[in-house]
Amino acid sequence: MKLRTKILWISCMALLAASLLGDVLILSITGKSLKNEATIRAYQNFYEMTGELEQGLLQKMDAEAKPLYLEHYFKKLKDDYSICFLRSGNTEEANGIRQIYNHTALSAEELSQLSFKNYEDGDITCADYSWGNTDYVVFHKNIQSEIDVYRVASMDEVQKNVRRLTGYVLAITFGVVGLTTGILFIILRHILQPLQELNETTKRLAEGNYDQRVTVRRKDEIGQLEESFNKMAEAVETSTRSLEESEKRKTLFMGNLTHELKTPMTAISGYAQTLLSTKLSRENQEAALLYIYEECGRLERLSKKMMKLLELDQEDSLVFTDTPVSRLFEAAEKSCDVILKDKQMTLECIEHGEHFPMDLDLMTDVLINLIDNGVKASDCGGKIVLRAYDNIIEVQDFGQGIPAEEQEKIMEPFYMVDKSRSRKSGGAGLGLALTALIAKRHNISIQIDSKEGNGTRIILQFV
Amino acid sequence: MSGKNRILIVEDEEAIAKMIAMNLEVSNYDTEIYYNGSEAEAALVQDHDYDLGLLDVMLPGKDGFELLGDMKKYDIPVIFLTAKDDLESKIQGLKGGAEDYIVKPFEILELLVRMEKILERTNKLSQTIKILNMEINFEEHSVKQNGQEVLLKPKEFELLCVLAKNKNIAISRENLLRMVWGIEYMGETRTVDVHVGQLRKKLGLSEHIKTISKMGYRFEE
Repeated sequence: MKLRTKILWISCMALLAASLLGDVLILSITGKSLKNEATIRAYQNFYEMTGELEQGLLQKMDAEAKPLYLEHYFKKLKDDYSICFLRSGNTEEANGIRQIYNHTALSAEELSQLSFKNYEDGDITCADYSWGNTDYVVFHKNIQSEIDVYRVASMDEVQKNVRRLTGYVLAITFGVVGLTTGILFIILRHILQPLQELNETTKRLAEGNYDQRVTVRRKDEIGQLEESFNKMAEAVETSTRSLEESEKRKTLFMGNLTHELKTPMTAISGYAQTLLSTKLSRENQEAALLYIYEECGRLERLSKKMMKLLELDQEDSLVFTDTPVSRLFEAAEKSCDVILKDKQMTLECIEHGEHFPMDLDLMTDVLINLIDNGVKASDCGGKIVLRAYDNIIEVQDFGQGIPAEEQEKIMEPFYMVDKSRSRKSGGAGLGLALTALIAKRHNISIQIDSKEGNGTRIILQFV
Repeated sequence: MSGKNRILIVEDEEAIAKMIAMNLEVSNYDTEIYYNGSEAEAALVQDHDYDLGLLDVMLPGKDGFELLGDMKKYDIPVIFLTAKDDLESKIQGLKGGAEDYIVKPFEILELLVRMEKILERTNKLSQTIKILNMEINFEEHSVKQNGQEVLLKPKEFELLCVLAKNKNIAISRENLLRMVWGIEYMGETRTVDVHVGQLRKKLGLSEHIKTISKMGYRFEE
């Protein structure tokens, strides 16, 4: 709003000043030329008049005839502007000057005080005189060195014209300036409107409403600014959201970790306390010791997995060697032998000599984790299928499956679909998180194809 | 009321559930364990004759907060025993009507004392304990040995009560001091030794009030 007012004021003032300057110039030039014209017209009149007088006077050489002629001439002329003096030897009149005709307010004395200048090249002189608000030009000619003829030309008309003209010009000037200002006001509002909108949006953005955007309506610089603003807002929103998300994930991870630590710690410290302070039977003492031992094992597994997660997160370069899938399957089968036998399950390996670049130990861990999950989800006597084809390795079980709404979350640390089941099997909920991280380091995308009650297929695709 | 108090334990961690049960049983409680919220809920319909429930919050099936409603329906006071130690959960638990909220890891003795307080409040604690050849009456503050009243000083009686109520569990001298004399009492642990000595002498319990090295005293039958 302020910028608009400022621009408006400055341009309005500049325009007004320029126009007024032009007006003054035009008016002074026009005024001068009008005055000149009027002067020339008056000069012509005077010239004709004096010419006529001279002509007439040529025949009247007689000293008595001259004044008579002059009186007669001027009476006939009968105007209010001419003055005629006759210089005679007669001293009756003041300074020996006799006033033949004078209908003006000017006396001989006043006339003699005017400074006459030559007009054109002839013997006619002229002087400027002003009385009241009106300017006059007084012409003078001396005829036969004894007759002084004056004629006063009023510039009243010229002045009136100039004044009228000034009025018009000023009216036009102010009109034009006013109109221009109005148009400028509208244009500025149109231009600055988006800036105001931009400002409002920025304020809202600063308050934390990161989904605020402006609508881009134009293709000029302001339109580009709006576009850039939207891009910036987009970037701010994305990075803020991802920061918030990672913060949330971290908090969740820490919360889960604490919980996972607390449970075995409660059991261990509880049993130790019980052993120390409570009178227990022999069997109960043994049971307590066994629980302590088991819970310690659980803590150890948890810390090992945590360490692995941390290592994997930090380790910047893994060495991948081209390994045949058969070796990977063998390694996994060997490690999972015990858990499979416990449930009388079989492992079926299908491969056609595929080989992928991988870290064998890490990939074995992945398969062990997936097989372990499969075994936990299956009933006794079922089977797990390891299959390799194209650029894909998949692990399939025929167990209870994963509900659709859980599928996204299972890769998160500490997430367990069936809490009691995983706990009983000693899981901490880190297996799939670890798997996801190893897969990420191998550039493997993980897809889950699962239906409740129909088993699960985990597809590892080398990208 | 006489006889053992019956306690319901709902806790998905087998190790912790068994540990609680082990300690409660030696302290003269009957226990029933469920590892799953929904199972506990189903079982409650059939059998809800419990004096107190110890519930975990994060349970498979039905969580502890949900289970609280069922417990209230059968008028069973509840203590939450959970790893969740955020204020919201505590408020939710206590506002929801639980008698107490204990955060894991916890001390067994603390659990026993809190349980005892709740049972006392809800009048589910028997007013007399018969132990060995003695009958302790809490209301009358009297001890009868073989039907003969034995005169004890007030602090001696209270000490006997604490030891008898938590029989088979060792209690440190500091805790005994706190439980019998109160937290404000700035006495020395020698006071406890002197009183224990008096009890042993007056009631002939030198065999039964055992000194457990580094742990304190334990009353054994």
